Amino acid sequence: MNALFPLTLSTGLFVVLSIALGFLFGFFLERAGFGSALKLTGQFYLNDWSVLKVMFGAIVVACLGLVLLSMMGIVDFGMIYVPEAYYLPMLIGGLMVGLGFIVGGYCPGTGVVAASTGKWDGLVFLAGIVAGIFVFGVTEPSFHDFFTGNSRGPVTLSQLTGLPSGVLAFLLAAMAIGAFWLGEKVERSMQAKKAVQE
Amino acid sequence: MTSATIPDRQLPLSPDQAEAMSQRLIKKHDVAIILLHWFNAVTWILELLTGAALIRSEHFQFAPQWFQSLIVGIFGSRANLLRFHIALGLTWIFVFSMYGIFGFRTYLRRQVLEKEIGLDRDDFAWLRIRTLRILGKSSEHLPPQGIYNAGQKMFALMVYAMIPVVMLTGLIMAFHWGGTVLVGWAVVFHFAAVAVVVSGLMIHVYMGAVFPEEKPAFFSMFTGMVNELYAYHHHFKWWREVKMQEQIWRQEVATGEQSLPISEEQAGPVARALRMKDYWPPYWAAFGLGLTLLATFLVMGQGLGASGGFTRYLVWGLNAVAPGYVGAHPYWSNYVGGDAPVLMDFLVFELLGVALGGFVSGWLAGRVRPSVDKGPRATVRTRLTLAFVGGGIAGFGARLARGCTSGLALSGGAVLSAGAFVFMFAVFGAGFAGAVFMRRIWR
Repeated sequence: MNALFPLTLSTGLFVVLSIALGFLFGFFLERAGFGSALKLTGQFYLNDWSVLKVMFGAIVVACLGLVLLSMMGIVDFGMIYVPEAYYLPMLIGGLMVGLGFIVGGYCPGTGVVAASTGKWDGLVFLAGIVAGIFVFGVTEPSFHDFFTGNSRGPVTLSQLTGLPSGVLAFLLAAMAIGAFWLGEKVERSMQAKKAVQE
Repeated sequence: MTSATIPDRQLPLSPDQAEAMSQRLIKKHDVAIILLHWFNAVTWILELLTGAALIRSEHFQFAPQWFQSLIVGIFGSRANLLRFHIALGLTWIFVFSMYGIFGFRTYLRRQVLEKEIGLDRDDFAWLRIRTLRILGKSSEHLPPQGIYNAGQKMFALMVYAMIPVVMLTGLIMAFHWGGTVLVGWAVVFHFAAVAVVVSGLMIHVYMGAVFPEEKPAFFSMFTGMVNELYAYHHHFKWWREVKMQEQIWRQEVATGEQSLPISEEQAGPVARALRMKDYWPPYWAAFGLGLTLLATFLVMGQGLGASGGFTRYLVWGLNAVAPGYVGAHPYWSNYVGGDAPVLMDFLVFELLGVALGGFVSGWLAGRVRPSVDKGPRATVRTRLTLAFVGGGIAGFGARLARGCTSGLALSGGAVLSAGAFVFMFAVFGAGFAGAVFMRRIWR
């Protein structure tokens, strides 16, 4: 199909655009307050649902955009990277990232934003990430089969459920709205509880 | 009016007052703005002339044959004409970029965002009343305006919207970026954007060079100054700001005291949003992040990420000190040895941008300062130790999952990857579970 996107870029343009896209990423993360571990961890104490709102919201916006542009033939979805499903490593890895999040206060992206706005804990967290990656690399050969085995390929929810991507995108959007509404309710009740205690 | 009282709305003036005011001058434009304006004007005139002569296709051609021959004749050949058009265009882009980069705080933020395009309530009322007056359906007085009236702001808004389009499409056309389809569309958008600007330019030039009441404004583009009477009548809110500044200056000189600058009350919504001291509402950030993610997919074919970039930086460092070890290692060797160097990867450069973007956003909001985020009951030492440990766990887990919250959850989620959703549930699950044990650190 004669789609416009994704683009093929020369090296110089590739570097410039990569930095530019990263700039926007970091900018919006910081604007949301995600350079602060206290704000981020607030999600897990249920008094600040910004993490869910921003993550889920961004996923829905991008997903709807991709579905729309794909239907219009502007994007060739076949050329978009879909991660392969390594269910068990992703489950365990996810638990670890989540644990690292609540223990360390950040995730890799937000850690960069924190460090860039002067947070020492952000900088130390990044050092920890590099150390963790190093340990992983060094130990990987011992669980290589677990790590590389059993890929189910680039499975999408559409393939799993049999529903077309467009329908799933709208379902996702509906779930997001539901989650946001729930989050607002919980945030308000936590605020009321706190006011009573003071 | 006396120097002690500055009116807060336009009052009628006595002939003597008006005469006195018409003799006094106030500064409207910096030298930098004047230079940029005329550079822009000359560039546009030349680019329009050469551009018109370059358009030969039967779909878009509009300049008469004698004109095309004349211009091509000056340059010798169409190829030379095109080279000139491109060279001048690149110069134009370069000059604007320099203004944008080095003059960001004074020029881009203060001048553009606040003065030139920020629309407030008076501006919207002005647009409505002005239109009705032109149609003869109203004789209401125009509301007071700032340094640029609403019509001028609309022109500026339109120009600022179109200029990036002209620049980007020009680059695509000049260097054939992105393939035939993209170049073809770039041509259409280049012409369309230029046409929009030209339509506005015709009004702009008429207002500046022909319309009698705006003569002071025209001359101010050479001298930088306008007389006070003109400012009082046409840009009252700006006149008032200038007068109040003068008053403060006079007080400071008299008493030797320094006082605070006047707060800019009329900053437009864009400037306010960028300078906001508070965090943005999460839905705004979600929307911005979602669009950024979408743009990344469109441009790069993949989504945003982070942990992969860190891995490459690490491997690059390891490779620099122990290339033999890296080359032979079953995991590290995945990142080296191909035809591209280990650092030639989207995430590597994206992370640099993230740091920059985070810094700029924090700096605009006044949030950049050395600090440690922690709950009231934790010590700094404990917090930093746990930050390192948490980072270690997160780093290991991110590699195990082949992605982190940005690379796998956000980007994978947007393409409905099944693995991404499994990962996301696990992250939130572990976060909530761990929160119970981490209370002393965060609350």
